[in-house]
Amino acid sequence: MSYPRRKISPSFIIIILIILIGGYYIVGPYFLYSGDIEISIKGSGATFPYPLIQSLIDHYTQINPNIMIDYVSIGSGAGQANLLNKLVDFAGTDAPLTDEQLESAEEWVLHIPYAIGGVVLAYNLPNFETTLQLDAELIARIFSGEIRRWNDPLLVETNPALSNYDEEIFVIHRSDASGTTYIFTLFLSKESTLWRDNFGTGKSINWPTLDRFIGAKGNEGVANLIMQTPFSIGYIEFTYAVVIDIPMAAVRNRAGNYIPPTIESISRAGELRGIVLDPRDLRISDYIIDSYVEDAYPISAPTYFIVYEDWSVYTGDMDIIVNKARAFKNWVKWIILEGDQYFVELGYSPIPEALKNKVLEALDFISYSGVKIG
Amino acid sequence: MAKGDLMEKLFKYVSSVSAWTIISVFTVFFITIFYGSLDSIFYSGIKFIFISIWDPVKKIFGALPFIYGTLLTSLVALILAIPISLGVAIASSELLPSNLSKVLDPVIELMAAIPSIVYGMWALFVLGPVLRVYVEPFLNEYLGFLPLFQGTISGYGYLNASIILFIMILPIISSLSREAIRAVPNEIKEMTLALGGTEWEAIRMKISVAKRGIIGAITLGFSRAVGETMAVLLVIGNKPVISASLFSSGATIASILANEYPEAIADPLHTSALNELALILFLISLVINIIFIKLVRRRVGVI
Amino acid sequence: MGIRTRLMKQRVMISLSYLSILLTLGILGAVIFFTFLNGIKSWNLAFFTEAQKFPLNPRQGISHAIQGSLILSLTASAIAAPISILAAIYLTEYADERLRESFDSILDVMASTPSIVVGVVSYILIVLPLQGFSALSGAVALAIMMMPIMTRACEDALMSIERRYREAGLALGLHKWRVSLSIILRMAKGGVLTGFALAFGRVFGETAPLLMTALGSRTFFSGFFEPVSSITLLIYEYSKSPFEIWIDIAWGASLLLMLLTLGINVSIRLWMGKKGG
Repeated sequence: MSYPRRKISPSFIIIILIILIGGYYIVGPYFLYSGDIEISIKGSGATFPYPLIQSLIDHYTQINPNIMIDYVSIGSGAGQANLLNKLVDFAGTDAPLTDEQLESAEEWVLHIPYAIGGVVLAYNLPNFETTLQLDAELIARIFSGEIRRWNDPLLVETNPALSNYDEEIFVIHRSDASGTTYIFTLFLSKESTLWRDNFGTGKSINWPTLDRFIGAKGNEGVANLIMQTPFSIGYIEFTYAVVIDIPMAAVRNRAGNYIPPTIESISRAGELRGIVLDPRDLRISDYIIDSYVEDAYPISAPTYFIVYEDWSVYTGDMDIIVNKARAFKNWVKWIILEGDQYFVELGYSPIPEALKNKVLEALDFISYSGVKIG
Repeated sequence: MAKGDLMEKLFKYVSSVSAWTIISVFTVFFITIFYGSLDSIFYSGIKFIFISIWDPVKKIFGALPFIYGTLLTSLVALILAIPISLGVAIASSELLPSNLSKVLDPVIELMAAIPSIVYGMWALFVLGPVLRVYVEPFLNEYLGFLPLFQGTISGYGYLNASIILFIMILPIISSLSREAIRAVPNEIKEMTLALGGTEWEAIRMKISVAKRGIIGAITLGFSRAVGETMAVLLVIGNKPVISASLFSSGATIASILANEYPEAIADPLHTSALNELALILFLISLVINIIFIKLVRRRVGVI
Repeated sequence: MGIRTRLMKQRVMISLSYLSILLTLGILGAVIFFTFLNGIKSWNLAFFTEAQKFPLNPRQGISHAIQGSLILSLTASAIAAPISILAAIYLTEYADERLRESFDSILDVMASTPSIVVGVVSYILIVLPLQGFSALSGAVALAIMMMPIMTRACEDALMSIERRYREAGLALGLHKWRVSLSIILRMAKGGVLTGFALAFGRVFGETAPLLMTALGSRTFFSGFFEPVSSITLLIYEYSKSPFEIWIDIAWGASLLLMLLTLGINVSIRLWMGKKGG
């Protein structure tokens, strides 16, 4: 006896396939990846260290699969606000908290510098073979719009090769508020009165409204635009310039030497000889930017994690919070003690040994209701 | 029976609540944005829409550059889109054989289905370099006497944003215009031909009858251009300036909202100023859309 | 005006019309061609199975973003579908003509509200009170965008069912709600599903409202109160990056997104065509 065969229509098969594939994406990750996650900590903030943090998370969670660390890059300012509102467990920031911010915080906030970054002047000059040499005054004049062309006598004086570049300078700058702009303008304000009087220091600057000035969002955006725009110059984090292999200017430091940005020359800016540091307050940006060290790249600055010293500010189950605090502490310890190799491959400079010891001391202050977390 | 009546009442109640919920979401929109912008309204007052400086650090908030950028890019997009959309509409409704236009119409309509972020990628990496290397130098050389085409050439800015907006509203305007032209009875065309008109004059007759619908189509295209965010965000340069040059970077209301909103969380006044920008955008698009509905609804009675 | 100039004019204008259609097709072709050309390079197994990694790792992909997009759009649909269907039933079966027309106008205006404004509203209403960016706020923003589109489509579908079926149902002694749900809605199933697919396709490619609600994430979905990634957010983030591998992945994701949204639209058309013919 034969039953009438039921016809299976092709659209039925397609629908089943869609459901299967969709289902895989929705629930698959739970079985594949999150099986043994016990502790998850989250942070947000600076965009500059984002690739580094991503790498440090990837490598650390590979050896500690029970920990999940998430980091959303939304900018230093938003990261600080998130931490002060207790929305995240840690924040990344390029600019340290101000005294007022620290006072407004519910508990003391520790600053943990873990890497030093350089802000470099990346440029796109077709067929320019030598390295551009700039000092603070020249940079200030370019970024204030005063120097308009690449063959300006002031530029040619230190860079004779520029004499046949009769082209307008495109200035690419950040359009969003950012720590990168802060570091860059802080350096300029320290060294150039022209800059200090007209633009000052800030996370965002009222840039000249010239057609040659183009704003872009994030280090990524600026780096991208420089690559795509011949005869442009802009300031970006060293690491982005390294990855895309774009030429960078050597900048004159306080000792009068033109120093090209390298991992070593930026790291050197972290040598804080003769300065006594309080591990509970490692806001060291001021010492590092425009360093006195003779072979240090001058536009260098530390980037920080900021965390509450006492994690009892977070509401919730005490055990969970203590575990989070411990996981964070162990992760940062690992970064300081074993993470150097991952810094170098991505173009970030690790902090020097002396500073590492201070950071390890600072980590020991992390506590819950006054009890230190071991 | 009583149980059935109860269900009936319940069902009617629940479904009417659903309908009213959707509508009240719309009211809530207005109230929410208005409430969110109160701080900024008190802070900047009416000056807000006349100041051309936007400097969140110094707490100076002026919306003019964004209003200017929004209107400029949308208008340039419309200037490009109107003739070409009309050409497309005429070709597919009057000129092409109907089995060919049956295939082409949906293909062109598919353009409207491509997400704006995809257009943005294309504008950023394909259109930008083309504009920089070919189009902008050309415009600068031959039309450089106009302030529109002066200034430095970068491939990004108002022009790039306008062109990508033009591409995005093209399918909308052309398909709505096509429908409007098709709705005109063919007798009008035949009448003109019988009176000794050329075929083109007959088509023009039809267009003049379909005018209201075509204007409606243009209005809808304009409304899309005003509110478009992602494609513009990627290519306009996001700089709060007013420049006569189409080559210059600029910003639109939508692009500045997307650019600064996630980070503005750190500063309530900044957020509030952005809310006020959203309020302005909301009102602009509301007005345009009401005009659109008035135009297109009445069409039914005209013919 | 002599007949010669009139014919001349006709020839010019008609050529211009043909030219416009060629130009339009050319643009569409260029968009699809370059997206395909640049996107297909990054399509490999890792692209579909791995999540985001640091930018030197060649074995990375967008599976977390695919997951996020699906969860956001499906959650949004789950919120929007019942409300929209009920609202459409109310408007077609219960409300009088004038009420329905004014509702329709408002729904049309709602449907064309810029999506970024929807994002701002969701930020104020959900992100701020919950004190953080979250998948939930993203889904609600998308649901708000879906509701007017779905309601209008359902209304059209319900209206297309002839009056006599309603009368027949009522004559059988059924209550109006039974008639609406079991007869009319069931008969209009096709149209309702089409509207649903249309709205789904639209929000699946949406970016702007998610920037200020779902925010994006580098890992898999970890709860409705946490940020989540989406294909569109990933494209936006990667497109600004200087890393070649991320830009390639952004193109790959664009290609996927384009094929999915076009796929949804083409199947709706084919399906409707088959039904109509």
